[in-house]
Amino acid sequence: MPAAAGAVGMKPAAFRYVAPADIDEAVAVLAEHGGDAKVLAGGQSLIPLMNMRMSRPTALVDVCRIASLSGVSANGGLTIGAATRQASVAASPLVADAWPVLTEALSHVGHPATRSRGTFGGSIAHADPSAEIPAVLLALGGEVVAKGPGGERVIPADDLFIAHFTTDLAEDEVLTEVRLPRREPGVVSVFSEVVRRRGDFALVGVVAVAQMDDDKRVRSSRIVLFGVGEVPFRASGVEDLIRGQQLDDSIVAEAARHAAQEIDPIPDVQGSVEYRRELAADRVGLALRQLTTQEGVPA
Amino acid sequence: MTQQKLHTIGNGAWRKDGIAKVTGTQVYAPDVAVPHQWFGRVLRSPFAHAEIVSVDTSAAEAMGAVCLTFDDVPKVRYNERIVSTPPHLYRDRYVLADKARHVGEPIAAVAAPTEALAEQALRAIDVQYKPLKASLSAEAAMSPEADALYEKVILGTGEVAIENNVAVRRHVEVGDVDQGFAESDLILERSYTTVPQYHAQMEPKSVLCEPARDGSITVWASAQSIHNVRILLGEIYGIPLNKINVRRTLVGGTFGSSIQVNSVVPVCVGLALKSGHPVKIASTREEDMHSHLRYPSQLTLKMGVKRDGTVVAGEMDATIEIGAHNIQAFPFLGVLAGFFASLYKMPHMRYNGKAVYTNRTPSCAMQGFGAPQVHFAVESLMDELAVELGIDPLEMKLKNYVGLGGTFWGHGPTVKSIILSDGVPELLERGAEHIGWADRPRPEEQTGRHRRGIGLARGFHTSGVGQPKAQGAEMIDYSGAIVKINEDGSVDLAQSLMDHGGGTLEAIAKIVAEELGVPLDKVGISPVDTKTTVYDVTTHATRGVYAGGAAAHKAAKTAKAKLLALAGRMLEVMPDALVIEPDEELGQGVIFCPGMPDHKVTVGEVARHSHVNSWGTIAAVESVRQVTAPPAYVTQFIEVEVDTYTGAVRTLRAALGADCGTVVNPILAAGQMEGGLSKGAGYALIEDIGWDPETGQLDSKGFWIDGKTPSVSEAPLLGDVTIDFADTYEPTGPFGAKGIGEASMNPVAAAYTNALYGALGVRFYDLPVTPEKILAALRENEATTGAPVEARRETTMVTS
Repeated sequence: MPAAAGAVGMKPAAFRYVAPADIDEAVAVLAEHGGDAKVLAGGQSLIPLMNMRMSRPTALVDVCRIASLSGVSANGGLTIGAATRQASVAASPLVADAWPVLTEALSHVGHPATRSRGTFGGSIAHADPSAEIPAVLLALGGEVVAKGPGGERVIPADDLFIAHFTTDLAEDEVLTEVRLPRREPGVVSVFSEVVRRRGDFALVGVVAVAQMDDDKRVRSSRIVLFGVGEVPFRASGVEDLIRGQQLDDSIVAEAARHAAQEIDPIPDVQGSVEYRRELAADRVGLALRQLTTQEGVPA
Repeated sequence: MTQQKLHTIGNGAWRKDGIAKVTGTQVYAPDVAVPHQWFGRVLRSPFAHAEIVSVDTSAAEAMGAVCLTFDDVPKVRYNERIVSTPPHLYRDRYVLADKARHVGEPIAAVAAPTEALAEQALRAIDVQYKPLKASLSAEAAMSPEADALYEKVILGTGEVAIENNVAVRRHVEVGDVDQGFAESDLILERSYTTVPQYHAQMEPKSVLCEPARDGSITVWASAQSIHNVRILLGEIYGIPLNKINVRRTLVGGTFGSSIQVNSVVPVCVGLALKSGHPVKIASTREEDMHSHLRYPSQLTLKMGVKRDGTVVAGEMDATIEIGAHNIQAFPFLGVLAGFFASLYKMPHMRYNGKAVYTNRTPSCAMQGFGAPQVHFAVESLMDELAVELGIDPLEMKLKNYVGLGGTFWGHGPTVKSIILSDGVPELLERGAEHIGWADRPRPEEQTGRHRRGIGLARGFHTSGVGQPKAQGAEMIDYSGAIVKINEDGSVDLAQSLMDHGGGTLEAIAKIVAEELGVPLDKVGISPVDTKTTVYDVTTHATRGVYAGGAAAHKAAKTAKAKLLALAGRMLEVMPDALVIEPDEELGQGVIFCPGMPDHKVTVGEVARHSHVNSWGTIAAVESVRQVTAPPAYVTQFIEVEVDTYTGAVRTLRAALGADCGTVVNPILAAGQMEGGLSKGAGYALIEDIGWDPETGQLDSKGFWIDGKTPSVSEAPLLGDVTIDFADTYEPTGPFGAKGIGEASMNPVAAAYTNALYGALGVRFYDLPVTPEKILAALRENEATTGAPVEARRETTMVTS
């Protein structure tokens, strides 16, 4: 029986490295390779996959040298360049002011060294279902801008995550920026995750965002779980359940049970389906209780 | 209890290699490069068990690569760890495999002028395999249906047949165990399982071999003994030892991972000899994880005690998996018995151990060797016995432990020492005070989501494997050192001993400085190789300071005698009347005769005088074998907090105690204890190297993303950790010192499981105790005892 050489000890297959000066060139190089090229945006996930030869792009298009792709600006909401390093987003006072839940979440993304290389948009385009940034994007109801040969388009977060490590981005499209909405008065948010070790991908995590009425009832919410299936998961059943409700003990317990039922976790070496359901229930309960203790920005 | 005034030993000196390390300029084996070097890569088996039908290298050779296959390598079966003496050395492997026995087994290798070409050529080699039935557990390997990994292996000068894949058995019996159990008031029997653990050392196993025209080779390798690399390469390739030079590079941590001559070393030499080029192989992390792991074990332990807590009898059955090669199963089975017999006084004791070949990653030494496994079982069962008897576990341990005047079996049944220093009572008392042992939380008193528990475990490691018998020892154990006083009075210490990063060589430099009476910064640690040093067996068994330090100490004493003789000639004073003391202002050692203030000269002046008058170099070479192996005791109190909803365990506090005799450097000794706590926490709670039961591939595939080892984030804050050193003096050690390194890790897992019992009232017998195991145990406890865990509001289980 023949076998592929090097069942262990794999390092990447040969590839071409391109560092385009602008987005148009990046798009052109991607098109030239007809789907066999990959965008390199920090490489904290892509390079290990290439080392395992689970990914074998013929070319890497390094977008980190395109100046226009980096930076954070506030315009009511936030606009974050796709190639902005995670460490820069985490340190941004604009982000801390607009969406402290994002600042909090970023402190759980990998480690200082990986955050210094890893990019904000790179994590979103990679779409690891256990990653923090895609879950925050979805919970905040943000959107991303993609540029391809046919021009620019805007993809709402709700439409972005298709499947395991798969987004709506086409192979010849470059994610250019991420837009987060303004934080409306009365909006509160919570981030919480369970990990085996600090900095790991989450076993289960939750990002809960809710707009509360003056009498502490939930007007609307976006409850997103991650680490619980193929994509960051909007727990719409939980959202329906708590709409118009005060988050008292009984509704929180019911919502938590509901969350555990609603998800479809994938077992792996880190945790079984049952354990992940249990954790999902726990985190949703915890997050909902914490929502009630937070103060939103005043009207 | 120091017996003399010391000027250097006991001070918290900073490391000599610290600046190079933190500025990234320190050269490790993977960094070494020579002009015109080629790059080697190793083709590894994707099958756990397979015959190699054919290896076709023609396509790779057509690319310009030089290939090495089984046909090219000497037909010498060897054991990569030549620490055991020849009669006890099992040899089962070749430089490249005759048959694939585990995923990752080296089958062929290539060398090429670039790494890229080497990788491409490697992939162009066509190997045809005929898969065999893989045995991925001891049970499967011993079943009649299993395919044999080996028909025969070599032991000493003869061959031994391997039956049912059992590589080695050992049996030890003391007293009459059946009578002992008959006399016992309480007998408990439990089974404990431990899993493999990856060393997770920073430096992946690497090697560079440079051949010369005269047939000699120079080798740089990740190693714990450069001399053993040389000797083994000489045996395999038939090269005279004076034509093999192995240079020491600082090793980037090992935790035991390079106690053997790593399999890439002879492969690299084969490539260099065949190609005629210097060849470098730097293992990838994935290859590294597939080359060695800690021994997994199944231990069944039975102990009988009197109502007052006196231990009467103990029996242990051990089954260990050694993976695809027998690296040191014989001594491993020996130390299981030895550590078992040495923890508590047991008039009646029986031990049966067997080591089983499986088609998994070879097991090898890792911090603690067999001690963490034995400590986990014995320290858990002692805690359980004490609770059952209603005795404080601390009191029961104090009552029964093997201490001063007792016999310590060090490194197995043939390495016995009478204990001459013992800080256990002091350490237990101080640790209990720090942690608040008397007021520790009890499981029955706790409700709510978060529960706290404090666990105690104690134990030791051996300091080396020295023993008194002149002949017939199981293990080689000696060290050497050259101490040379330079022409300006500074000192060179040339010793082949390896420092794994814990500061062993720095400690030995202090021993030399202390003996010679010179300031520490006057002692330089020489870069060395095998040609210019004398033998050192290997840095293992917590022997570096105790045994390696003893050799340097003796060389320093000899050099000092020569120095004082010359000083006496200069000062016209009898040498025996002279003493040396460091003088901070002069930055020199000063030699003087007490009571004769005019008769005074510095070490530098003597050295210079000796030089200009051609009296000769003041130097000494010594080779020393310690004749005892004293226990380096430790005590560990650990406080945990358990989240009963998620099963997560947090380490809140720890009170650690070490009896390493005289503390040579308290900063580095404390670092050992902190490191052992972290490594032990990973062993106790997190690390599990699983295998795919179908393919025999590691679940993690060799990647660190799944092979969890705790980082600094999982450690308690240093302010919440106390470290006590016992006030003891080991009469056989250099300036009273004995070991510490491996001891720091040995009891940690049991301290955790005992703490978990304190928090939850549940015992855990299988490592690692993962959150899922904790939740399952709580549920089972709830079901069997009716003790509600707490109304776990959100976690009502959903089964769908």
